[in-house]
Amino acid sequence: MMAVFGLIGLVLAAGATDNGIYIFGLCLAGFAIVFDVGLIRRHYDKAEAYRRGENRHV
Amino acid sequence: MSDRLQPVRYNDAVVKKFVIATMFWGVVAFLVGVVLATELAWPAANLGLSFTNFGRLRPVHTSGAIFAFGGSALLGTSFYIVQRTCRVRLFGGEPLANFVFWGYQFFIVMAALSYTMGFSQGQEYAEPEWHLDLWLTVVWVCYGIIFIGTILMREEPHIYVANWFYMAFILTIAVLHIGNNLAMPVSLFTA
Repeated sequence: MMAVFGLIGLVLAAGATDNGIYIFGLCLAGFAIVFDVGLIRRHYDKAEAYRRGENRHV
Repeated sequence: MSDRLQPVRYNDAVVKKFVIATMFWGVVAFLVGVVLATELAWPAANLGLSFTNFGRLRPVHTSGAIFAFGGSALLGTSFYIVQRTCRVRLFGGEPLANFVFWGYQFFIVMAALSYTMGFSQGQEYAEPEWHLDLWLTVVWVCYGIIFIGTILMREEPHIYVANWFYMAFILTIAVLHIGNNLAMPVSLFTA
């Protein structure tokens, strides 16, 4: 879902006719990338904690 | 021990994030209010810059207080209450709850940025342009899915009255948002 939002952001920024859409599009793409990286990091953190037997994630 | 007596591990991380965001946006909104009051008394305090103009900062203050400060408080408290009164974790897991939190913060930052850049629909409490309205709609629908989904899979037979109030709040804001922000953009690439 976030990848789709990121692509929409890039399309908006590419075709923008004013700064409002341009900045929003770039920020949406950036937000999508950071959120997806966060999801990946969280997945591996959880897997590592599970292997250690901690499982303390809230 | 039976399942009913097992302690439920609630998703408190997202609640903590909303509480921190509430305090942060409260300070930001009130500081902008002080700047605006200063500009009212001494108009030259806007330093002659376009983005510190009274007309552009005023919606930052009102939206910051209502949407950022008040909205974060309501979302955070609703997530806290619905888990405990239903005795289950939030529906949709951590990723969906995190999306609602960060998506809402993203909306606030983008809205404040657009106001200071001079983009506004010019309607009180409905200032964000159409692309931001659509983004808030996505976030709000996800919030509704989490809240109503949590209630649907509750372990408690009774639906506490607080949850009815929160559901009314979610529905009312959705109707208000759609009704107050209906717009036909000139093009997909124009704010």
